Amino acid sequence: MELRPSRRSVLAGLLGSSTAASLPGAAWAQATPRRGGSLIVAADSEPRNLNPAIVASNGVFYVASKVIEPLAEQSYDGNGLAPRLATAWHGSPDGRSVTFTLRPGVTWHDGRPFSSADVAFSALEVWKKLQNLGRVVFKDLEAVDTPDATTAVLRFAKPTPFQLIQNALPALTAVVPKHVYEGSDINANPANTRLIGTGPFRFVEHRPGQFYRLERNPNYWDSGKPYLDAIVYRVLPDPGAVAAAIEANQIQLAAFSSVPLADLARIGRVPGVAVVTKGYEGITYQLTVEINHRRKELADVRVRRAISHAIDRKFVVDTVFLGYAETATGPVPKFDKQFHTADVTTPGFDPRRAEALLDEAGYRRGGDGVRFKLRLLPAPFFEQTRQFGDYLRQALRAVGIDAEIVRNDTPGHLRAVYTDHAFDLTVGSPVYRNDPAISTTILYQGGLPPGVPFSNQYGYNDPQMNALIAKAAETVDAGERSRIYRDFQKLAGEQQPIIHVAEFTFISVTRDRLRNVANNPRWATSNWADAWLAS
Amino acid sequence: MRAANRFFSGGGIVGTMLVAGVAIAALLAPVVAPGDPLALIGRPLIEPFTDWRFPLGTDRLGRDVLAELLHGARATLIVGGAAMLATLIVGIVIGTLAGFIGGTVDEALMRLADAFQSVPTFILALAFVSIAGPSLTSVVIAVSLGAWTAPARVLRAEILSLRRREFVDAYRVLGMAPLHIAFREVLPNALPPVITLAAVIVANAILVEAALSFLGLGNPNSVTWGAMIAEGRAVFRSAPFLSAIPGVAIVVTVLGVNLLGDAANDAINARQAQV
Amino acid sequence: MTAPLLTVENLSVVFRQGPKQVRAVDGVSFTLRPGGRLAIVGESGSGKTSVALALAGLLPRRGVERGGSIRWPSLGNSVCAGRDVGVVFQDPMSSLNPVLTVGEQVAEVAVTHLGLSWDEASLRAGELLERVGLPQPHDMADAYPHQLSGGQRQRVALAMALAAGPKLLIADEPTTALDTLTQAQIVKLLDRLARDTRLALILITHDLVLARGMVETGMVMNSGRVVETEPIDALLSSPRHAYTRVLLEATLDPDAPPARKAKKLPGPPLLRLSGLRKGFGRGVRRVTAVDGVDLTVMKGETLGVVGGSGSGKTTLARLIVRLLEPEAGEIEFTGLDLLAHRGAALRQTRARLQMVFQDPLSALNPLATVRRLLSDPLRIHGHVAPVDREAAVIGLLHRVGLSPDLADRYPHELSGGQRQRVNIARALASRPELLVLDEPVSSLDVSIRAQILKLLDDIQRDLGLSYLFISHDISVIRAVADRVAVMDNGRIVELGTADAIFTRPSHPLTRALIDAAPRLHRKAL
Repeated sequence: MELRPSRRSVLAGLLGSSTAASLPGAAWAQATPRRGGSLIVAADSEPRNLNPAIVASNGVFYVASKVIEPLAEQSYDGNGLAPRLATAWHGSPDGRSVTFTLRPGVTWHDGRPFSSADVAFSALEVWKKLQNLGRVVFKDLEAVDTPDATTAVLRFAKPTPFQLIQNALPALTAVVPKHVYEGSDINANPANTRLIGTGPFRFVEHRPGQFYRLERNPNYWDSGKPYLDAIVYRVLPDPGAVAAAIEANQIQLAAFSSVPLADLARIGRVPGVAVVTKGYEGITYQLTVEINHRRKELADVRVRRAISHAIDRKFVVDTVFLGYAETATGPVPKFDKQFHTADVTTPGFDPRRAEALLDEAGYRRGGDGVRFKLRLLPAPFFEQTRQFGDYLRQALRAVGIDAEIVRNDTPGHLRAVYTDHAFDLTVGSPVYRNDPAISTTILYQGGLPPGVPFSNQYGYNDPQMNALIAKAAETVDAGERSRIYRDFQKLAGEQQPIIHVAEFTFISVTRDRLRNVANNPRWATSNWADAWLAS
Repeated sequence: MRAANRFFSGGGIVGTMLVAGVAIAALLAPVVAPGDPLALIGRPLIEPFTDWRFPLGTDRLGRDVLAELLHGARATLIVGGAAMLATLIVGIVIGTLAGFIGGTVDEALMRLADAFQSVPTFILALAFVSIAGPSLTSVVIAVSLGAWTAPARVLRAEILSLRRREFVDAYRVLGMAPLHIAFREVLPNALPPVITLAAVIVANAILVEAALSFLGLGNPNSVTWGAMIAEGRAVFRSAPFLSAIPGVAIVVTVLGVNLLGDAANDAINARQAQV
Repeated sequence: MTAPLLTVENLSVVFRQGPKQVRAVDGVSFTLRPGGRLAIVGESGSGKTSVALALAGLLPRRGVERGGSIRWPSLGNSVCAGRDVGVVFQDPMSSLNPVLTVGEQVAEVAVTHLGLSWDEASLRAGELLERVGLPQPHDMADAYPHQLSGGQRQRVALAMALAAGPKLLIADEPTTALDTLTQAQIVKLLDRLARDTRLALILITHDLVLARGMVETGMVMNSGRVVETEPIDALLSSPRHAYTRVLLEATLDPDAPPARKAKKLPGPPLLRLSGLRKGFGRGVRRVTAVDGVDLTVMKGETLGVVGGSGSGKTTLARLIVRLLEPEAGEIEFTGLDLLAHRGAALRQTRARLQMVFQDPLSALNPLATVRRLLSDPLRIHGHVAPVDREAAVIGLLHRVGLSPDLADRYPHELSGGQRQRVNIARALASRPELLVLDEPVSSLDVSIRAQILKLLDDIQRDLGLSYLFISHDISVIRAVADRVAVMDNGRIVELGTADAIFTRPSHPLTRALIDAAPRLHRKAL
């Protein structure tokens, strides 16, 4: 009797472990795609307004990006962008206009032709006026010229960097049909819940509490695509249920880390299941300690640097994130080669140096070993923000700062931090969206009105920082602009107005018969025209 | 004598041992596990019984599970005890007033009790804590909010029947002040059934506190068993001991308190049969 | 010679509770012929009820040891309680099911034991209810127990006991809870029924006098043992045993001359009631319990108030001590308008106007020691300095004939007589001028009753108190009262000196009450 394992089983084992170790979906792209089949995926939330042109958030994109397309999508290849509704774009040297060449022969799901008028309408009436992110990026948009059906020229009142517009294309430029929205209350239009777009899938049905159903758009401009007949989003808010469903092959994808990190190692060993860590680089989250500079202790840069020294970022990545994250040095994540610089003076883990700095700042340990007390508000957004709060409390205690944890639900937390400023430290998780000007510099810019969530409500108002941000905003030259943002990172590293601890994205768990997974940096929120199910 | 015999029968002994065990754990917590039980002092996720420094292992952040368990016993007993006291005080005052004064006062107080009882205890607690913010005091108040109606009703019924006894008339004829009669003379006679309710209140308070902590509405700056379970839930498939250990602690404590309550009930019944 | 119905030999009943055991019945033997009548006479704790329960097979299974033998030679030995032995208890309310009509309850017994159909049983129930003397028995059959009076309930209980045609009826204190007039009716009924159906009867009672005329044989029990068993007339006329004599001497004779001759008492009345009225309920359910009562109590006298149950006696007592507010009328106490008193003034007046309640156990707080019970009035009225309170408590205990050793006892640790003494002591503590005594001896054993009446007499003599003495028992009133008021339906129907009332009763009710009283000797007509 031969007890040696067969070659086939060894090979299968190797393959299994290699999928678990997150090979990019591109590895399968060579195989011949198979048409047909319904993809069933888990959804943990049900946004009421599904219109991505109004609500630029991941929960909306997850469903809507298959129906309504942006002008361009992020890509691992080339200059980082792949064409969608626009085939070419270039900016004028003075930064006052950007010209888009649009894809011809595209029709809306209701059969009407797509044209530059739709882009003009979307840009002026929706992105600029209504969209959470577009209100910042397109604030100086003055007019959109449409010399012909396939050309749209965005004109700006002030120089607006072409680099910023380019970086904003994937998330901020979902195009909606003018003929559906024009003359109506855009926010209340029924098409916000029954989407009409140009994408590879048509919106069919939403049953609240149960599912969304999308079906193949037979007239999609990219002929031959999509491969899937339908996509069904099953509403599964409970993480345990998601893990069980994917193990039972009832769903083929659990995106956005809906399977808990702690369960990944185990579920990765289940045959037919793959854990994929790629495909979210374009929507990197940052674990930060946000600081209320109104506290006199925290207004002192030495205290802020001491806090930064007290945090063991490696420990946080290994225990809180179980290794599914990277340590951070500043406001631009490492993935963004365009802007990131490692040349910063962000304080590393060094509790002794932290104590020395605190002593130097005049906050010596009292009889009970405590230098001063703080209120610490961990954001309730992720399990990791809460857990890091527990860690931070202990890390601060080690250097003599007594932080009392105050927990709130999401509305309570937003009010306490961004309106009432009733906090000393808070654990935050801002999103980096491909360009510092989209949602990052707003966290550093001084003099903003109170009440705006995810903006600088920290009482930080540094003239040097404000000047850098203002200068970058009007710098049209990409190289120069990137250089300014590197200075911005250096200054942030020095002053530590916000302490960056880790960068994390999401993890997908898939059945391995789902192919072309994670083949772009915003994969979960891209159009899935090339995704297919092996038999 | 006989009451005591009745108390120390099977369930009573087990209940006493369980509760005493938890109480000793709570008392010894600062000795056995000095310092902050939330301190991150070990390698994360050490299995129980594998490292003598951490007999029950460590959690996801490297906290000593034994230290958390012992300090959690304190929080649990403090919440249980404080909630019982608050509940009994409110219940006794309202029940006694309603039963003794009767009429409109009784009617009003009992409708108030109806209003509180028509909302499930836990929902009431949840609503209160989410408004008042999580802290020991708010958890105690939250538990009492839903629990006071039981002792109030029991007490009212007792007082109503005692009120007809001639000794109450005798005190009135003596010129004793009505509130004095109600609280000093009648109330003690009505207490035995309420005392057995106390065990139910403690057990319920422990469970509500655990549930609130589990939902993240406990006091985040102290260890509680409910919070430990919630914390362990994320790694339940790979490290089930993190949830199981505090879970067993809750079961043991609630079981002990209930056995103790039953035994007290038997003893009181035996005593009353004697009287 | 027919076989005896029942032979009891050396019966003993021992109750066990943990390590403690109580020998309730100790070596009791007797026989009963078919149709024979026996009274088991004894005071509380004598074991008489345990004998009855043993005979009926109703002793609890747990914690009880029964010794000796009970045999039924003429019945075979399979005796079934309910079928062969009917039982009537003291409190008819607790032996009836509150949610069934009385007709159903009687019929149910017949269905269970005689195997009758419901229709037949209902018919039989109607006959039985008629036989026990219920008025309009067919309407009564549809009534629920709470709609009946106490006497009517006892008749229903009797009908149930007789429904299966038993050979023996055990009646355990069947009249104790009833007033004098009803008591006499039930006694007559029992007598007639036993005679008509050749039913054997065992009457359990504390009252020797009640047994006379109903039974042939009297068996006196004390502390679980039989003291003597004699034909009833012999027992009453020439008791041999000392204990029987004690019982007899304590028995009040309703035909004796009134104990007190009316004194001429000077001065204004201590208490004056005029036009006092109080009702309960509203509309058609309204009952006027006290309806325009005028009375006076002079200093140093005892005014006896007598009447049947529901006559308004207790309401009157509670009105006087301000436990109830009258709807109309005036109460004048020592010349003061008592109804005008509120708050502190009322408290002061209360010290001078105290009450002794009917049920000595219920009137004492179970959780208070005797010392605390007696200290309360001293503390409330503050007429004794705190340092002197202990001495005052001891003095009060002496005054009512109790040992100071009892000061640390709780009420449940005292005997019935001791409890009533404590109640009296408490009432005396605030140095009252008037005591309202609401049936102060009706729940006590005969021998104790005599002692308490003696005590009250002594106290009155020594302290010059006035008593308003309420009782349903005309014999008791005769023994204590200077003047007597007879109450019926909330009104005073006759008022006069004891001498006048007992020798020349003018109201029919007064006469009926006097006639109904159980007597040691047949009344000379």
